[in-house]
Amino acid sequence: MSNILKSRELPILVLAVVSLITIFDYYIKIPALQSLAENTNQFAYIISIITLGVGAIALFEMHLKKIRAKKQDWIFSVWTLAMIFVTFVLGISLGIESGTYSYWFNNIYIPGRSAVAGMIVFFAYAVAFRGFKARNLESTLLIVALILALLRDAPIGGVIWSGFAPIGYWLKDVITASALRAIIVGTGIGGVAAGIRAMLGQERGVGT
Amino acid sequence: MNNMFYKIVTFGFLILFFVLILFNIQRGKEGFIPKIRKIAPLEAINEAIGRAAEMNRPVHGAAGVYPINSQWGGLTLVGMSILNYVARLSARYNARAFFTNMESINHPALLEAVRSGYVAEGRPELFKEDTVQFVIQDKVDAMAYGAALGTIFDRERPAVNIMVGGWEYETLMVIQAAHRAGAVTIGGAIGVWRLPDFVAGADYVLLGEELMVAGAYVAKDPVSLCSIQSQDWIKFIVLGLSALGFILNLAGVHVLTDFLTM
Repeated sequence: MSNILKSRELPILVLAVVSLITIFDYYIKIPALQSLAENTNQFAYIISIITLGVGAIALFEMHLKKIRAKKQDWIFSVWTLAMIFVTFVLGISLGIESGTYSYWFNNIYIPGRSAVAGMIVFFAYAVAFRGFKARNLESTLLIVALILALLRDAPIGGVIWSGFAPIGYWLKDVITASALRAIIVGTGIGGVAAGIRAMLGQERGVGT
Repeated sequence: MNNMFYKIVTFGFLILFFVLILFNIQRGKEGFIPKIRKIAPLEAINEAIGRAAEMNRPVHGAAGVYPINSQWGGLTLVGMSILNYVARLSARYNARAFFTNMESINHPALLEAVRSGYVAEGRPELFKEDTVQFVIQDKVDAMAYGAALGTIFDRERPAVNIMVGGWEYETLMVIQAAHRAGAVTIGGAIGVWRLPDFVAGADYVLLGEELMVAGAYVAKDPVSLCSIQSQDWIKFIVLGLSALGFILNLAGVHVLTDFLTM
């Protein structure tokens, strides 16, 4: 029994069976198959809840180890664990609908998250400054396209020359859109192929 | 055209895809080795991990922010295939590697993908408890994950940052944090969303389909390489359909266009 559970084939078999149930449920409407597909979806939901516990244990282990060893920035690990503990206790004792729990979430988590999101613009400038350097023909074309896109949208572009807007939109709607569509088609085909390879046990690292 | 006809045709395509892949796998088993063009970012992974080992600095790998049971979970699975390869190379070159994750449902699968990489190289002892780190669970977005990676990179100073799978708004934060730490970033994106971020910030980018074939490409065995060839055949069919649709449209017949845009 333990040999079967440890075998390489078992996870691939589970993956293949669940995938086939989901695929056939989309194409063939049989009540029994439909109920089987719904059940497998429920299983996925239950597994995700169980893995949340696995993740929480891994997180606790990692931070406790760091605190015990007094590694660099260990104080932040204390803060992380304290926050998890307080949120957990508040959620369990008062319920996630309670005002105290919501206050905690809305006034500590959300502002922090918004502050981090707001910082993205600075990262965008830093990355653009680093990335858009005319090193070769391709990067020079990229910079020219970027300048045209900027002049298309910036009010000053229209003031300088009315032709920036049509050129900018042509670049976006014709050149960029066609290139992106080619990538999307390739990705779609690649996705289906990767799924089939995983079902056949040919995708490295997935059940192997 | 009714929905039933559409489903029959797409199902037919799926079966065709299955048959082509099985056919090519059989050819691979018989020893046929197809010619596959070199994918620079995947070749660069080898070099970058070797460099990390020489510098005695760690390698970081992440399989993106999407849960494996979501619509974009396929990307995460493909990302894990690449991380399995990264783990193998890290074990081979004796480079310390750490892998981060922000979705609890991905954690057991990522643990297994990485652990099996070390085992495959005969170095299971290099796989430590903290080799795969569950950083955070964020149901709103991945901002906290991005911020956490910034701090982790400042502390660990990785020499290589491998970002595969699917990414969101935090991409720029992670790329810039890796740059600040002096790491080479090898990333992967599948089109519209994060492609510009990776093109502007990463040193090597796996574009769309390249990300999808990475797992099979790095395996380098004839069976995996042959399975990639099936995709090219399907692409030729799609190209043929596109050309046919274009010609039919010019002739005023819109049957194929209507069908493909259903």
